[in-house]
Amino acid sequence: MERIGVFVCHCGRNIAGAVNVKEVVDKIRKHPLVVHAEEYKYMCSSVGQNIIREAIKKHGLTGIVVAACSPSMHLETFRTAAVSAGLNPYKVEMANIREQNSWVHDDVNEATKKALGIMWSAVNKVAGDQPLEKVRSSVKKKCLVIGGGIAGIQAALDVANNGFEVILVEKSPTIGGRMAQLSETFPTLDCAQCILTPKMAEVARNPNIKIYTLSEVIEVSGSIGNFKVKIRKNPRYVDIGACNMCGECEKVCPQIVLDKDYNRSLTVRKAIYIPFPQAIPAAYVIDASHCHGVGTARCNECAKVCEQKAINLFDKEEIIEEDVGAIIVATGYDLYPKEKIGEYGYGRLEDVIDSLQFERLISSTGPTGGELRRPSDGKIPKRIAFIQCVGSRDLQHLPYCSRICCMYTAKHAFLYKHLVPDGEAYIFYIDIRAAGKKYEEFIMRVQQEGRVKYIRGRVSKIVQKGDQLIVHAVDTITGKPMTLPFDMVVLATGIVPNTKEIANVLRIPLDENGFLQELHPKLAPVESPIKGIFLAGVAQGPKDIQDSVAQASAAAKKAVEILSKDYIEREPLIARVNKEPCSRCGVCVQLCPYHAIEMTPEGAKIIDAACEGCGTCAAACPSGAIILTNNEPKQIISMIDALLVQAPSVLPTASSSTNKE
Amino acid sequence: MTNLADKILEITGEDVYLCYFCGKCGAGCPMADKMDHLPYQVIHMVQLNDMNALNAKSIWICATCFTCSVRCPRNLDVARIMEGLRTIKVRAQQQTIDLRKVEDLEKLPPIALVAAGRKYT
Amino acid sequence: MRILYYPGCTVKATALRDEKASLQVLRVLGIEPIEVENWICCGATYNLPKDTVIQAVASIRTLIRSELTMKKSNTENILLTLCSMCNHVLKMADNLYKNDPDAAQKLNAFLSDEPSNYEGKLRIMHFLEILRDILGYDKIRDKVKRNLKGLNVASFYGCLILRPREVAIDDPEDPVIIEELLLRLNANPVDYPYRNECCGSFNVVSAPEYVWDRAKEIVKSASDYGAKLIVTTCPLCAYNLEEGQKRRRKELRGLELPILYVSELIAYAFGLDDALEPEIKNLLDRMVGKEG
Repeated sequence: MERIGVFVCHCGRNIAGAVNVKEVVDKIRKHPLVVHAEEYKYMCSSVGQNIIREAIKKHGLTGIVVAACSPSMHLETFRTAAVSAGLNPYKVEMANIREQNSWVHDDVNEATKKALGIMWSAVNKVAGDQPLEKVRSSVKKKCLVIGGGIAGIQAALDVANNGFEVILVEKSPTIGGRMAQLSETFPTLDCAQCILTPKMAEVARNPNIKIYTLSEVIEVSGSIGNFKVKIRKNPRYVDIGACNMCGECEKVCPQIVLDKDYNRSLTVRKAIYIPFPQAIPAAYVIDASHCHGVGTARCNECAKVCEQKAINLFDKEEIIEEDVGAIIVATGYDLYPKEKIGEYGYGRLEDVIDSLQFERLISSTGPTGGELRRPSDGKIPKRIAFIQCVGSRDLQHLPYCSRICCMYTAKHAFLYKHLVPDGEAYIFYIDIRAAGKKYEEFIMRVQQEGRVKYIRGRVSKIVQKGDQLIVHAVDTITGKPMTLPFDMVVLATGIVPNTKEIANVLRIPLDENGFLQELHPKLAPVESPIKGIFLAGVAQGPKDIQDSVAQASAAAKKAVEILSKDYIEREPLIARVNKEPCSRCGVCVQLCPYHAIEMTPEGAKIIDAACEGCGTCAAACPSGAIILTNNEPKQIISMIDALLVQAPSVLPTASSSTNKE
Repeated sequence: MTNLADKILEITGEDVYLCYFCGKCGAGCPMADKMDHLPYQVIHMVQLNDMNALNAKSIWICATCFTCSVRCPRNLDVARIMEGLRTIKVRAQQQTIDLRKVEDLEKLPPIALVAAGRKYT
Repeated sequence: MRILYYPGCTVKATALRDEKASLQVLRVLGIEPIEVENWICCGATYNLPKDTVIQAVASIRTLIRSELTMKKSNTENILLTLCSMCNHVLKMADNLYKNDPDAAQKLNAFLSDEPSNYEGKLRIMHFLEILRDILGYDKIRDKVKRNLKGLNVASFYGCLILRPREVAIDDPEDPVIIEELLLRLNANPVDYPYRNECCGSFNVVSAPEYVWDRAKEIVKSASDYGAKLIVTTCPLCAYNLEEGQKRRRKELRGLELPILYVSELIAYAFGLDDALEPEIKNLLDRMVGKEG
């Protein structure tokens, strides 16, 4: 026979203000399995915990119910207290009479009645709970980092420098990401390449980091401490170890290709190329979609001249399997396509460019060698307009603020004035959001030193007239409509996350804007909802380099926390299958959000290490074959019984007096 | 009368409190140079319950071409708001346009006359 | 193919040229428009307040009568409109009726004197939509007899055929339907900034000076970009541009561009001379002859 103790917390006036605590203590004593019940002001205090410990020993309790706040608040507190008195932690239940009762009700009678119902059902549940032990599993001492931009680079370095192996997967031919395309960075005007490329080189020579470029993660199974990862490595056609970057292959390659990636269609490259001189790995790559020789060697000019014999036109894709203990996702962003904005010319006006194109045009490694020349005719633009919030903060495009555009636009205008001192720069803005360290000061500097004209108003239309662009705007400060001619217009297009495929593979939910959902927006911004998977950079939300790097280090620290453990302790509250009634219909396999069920000839099989105990399968199983431990159907029925029949029979109409202190 | 913003919401279903005054409506408005207050300024007046919004010349000049409505980043149907203000005036029989004084009456396309009649009176 | 045809008041008054050309063009292409019996004015403009349904009554009455004609004359459920404003108003009213059951109920009560309720079976289509969606551009090209090669033509869409989005016949920011047709006629479409903008509309009644200014800008811009001719599909745009460029003759330094309906240019290219007023045909003869 179970011997249950019930401990009711006043939580100051939080509970006692709406629930007649004395009365519920009296009434719960009528439960046939309750041998002890008492109340205290703050059960979570050390005095309160002591009361629980003493009562467990004194009355030989086999289970306890603490009627207080939400279990996410204090279940662990009370479990720890119970364990120290010799009780199994899974014989502790909480009855949430605060968040789910006293906080949301004023009527003392009704709240008291409801509190008793909740407590009664918790007593019924704890009576049916099995004592359990935590499950332990080993930890693979390796971390997967997905995305080789600045966030992925930082995370990889931090994990590696803590002595753990890192697999860094990047889908393009080089690491470096968006930052490698930038000219200089706000607010310090450091040259982006100068601060990024040393870090890239550090990644390359760190013995703990293995880089897979041209690669994508295509499948992930398992769970925290033990993920199994499948990576598709697309062929490079060039042996990284053998290539000495002599460049002879590029000279003879007959295929000229628009450089859509690194230089954003502002120049051309060959089908065999290096994305940029400091690329890591430092090796050529063949763009298979434009090469006429891959797979056939019909054209093999490059292979003929390669002294290193580094080129293999018959290179094949590989599937690589890795076991890792933790995963960091840093898949970055793309710009919102200017082709989607009709009133700005749908991307068809040649001298209306996006912000990354402008970065390339003013970069010393760019297609014009750092001289600002506009795409249409190579003229140096003497009048330039920068338009902020293009796509961003627009319910027809991106509802959110992209966070970086105010700052990079100020930087653009400032750098423009350095390159074209006699030029005129206008910035059309609707707000200037410069909420970062030294950001406001930078804006002030741009205004003062740069003599940049800030016009508060959103541009409505851009049209080509002759070789100029006419911008239709309103100066909302004076209320004057204006049509101004410019030589070039730069659109501060918003940013959109690269998350679709990876979210699917990892089963991480996306928020309404396509960013990876963090576990908690304030208190767990680095954790994904899946244990052992962490987030960094723009994939999680719009942010600049500073914040991306900070988040990457935080994610790395979280990963290291797991990797440094000898074992992972897991909750034993998982699903199990009774083979007998299982009809092998497969509904559970489809529904499981954690890939934790597989179908075998004998029926469904739970992968214990992956099961999170959410109960979706148990609820959906049409034959009732799946049971969630300590949530047995008979327990749930008994809880419903408590609420509908047993508790109301003890307290049909609660007394009207409140609990006076 | 209840406050102007609520009245506009009631008549048009458009909530002027969504406006953040980016100015895109005024920037693209084909009649902007004839207006005394640009559409976002009129909306600002409505937010502030400034009855002068009802006396703005602009509300009679708006040609309901919907350019602003199609481009508004907060999805406000600005043309509808302008017409809501006009409607308040017309329903109170305070329209400012006298169709008896129209020039070229016999030459005008009937749609122009009917439209003006329905918008202004 | 027999379809329903709603002319509206203006087509029967100041835009007879458009009607004559449009209907003949359609007939040559195998479409027989049957005029709706007892049609009435659509209302010309769709008033925007949402606390009433009165703005839709006239349109729905016409739509009821269109359905009656459809049954009687055994036509398709397509209702042809020529005038941009009719097209806009009928579609707005049709949307209200189909999407708002309360409004539909009120409208039915208002219209209880009609023999039946509107059943919502009609597909309201502008002349240009019929050319694009029912016939296809290629059928137009196949009928071309006169080559308009070298003729620089600016389209003027005006506002209501493109906006709001839910009744637009094309992308409001970058419409192509007229340009696609011009290409099939071998003419040169001229891209200029005003082609999808508003002519000033009914301001011509209350503040005509504003409209003349607007017309001046539009004509000047079209000409600057090389147009020799403007085509439109809205009778009010046609009037405002035509009248406006006359009133601003001095500022335009005598510049005057012919303002035609799209249908007239198609009819001319098809060689349908009796669909055109003689002076229009002569004008085009001169222009094409000169260009050629």
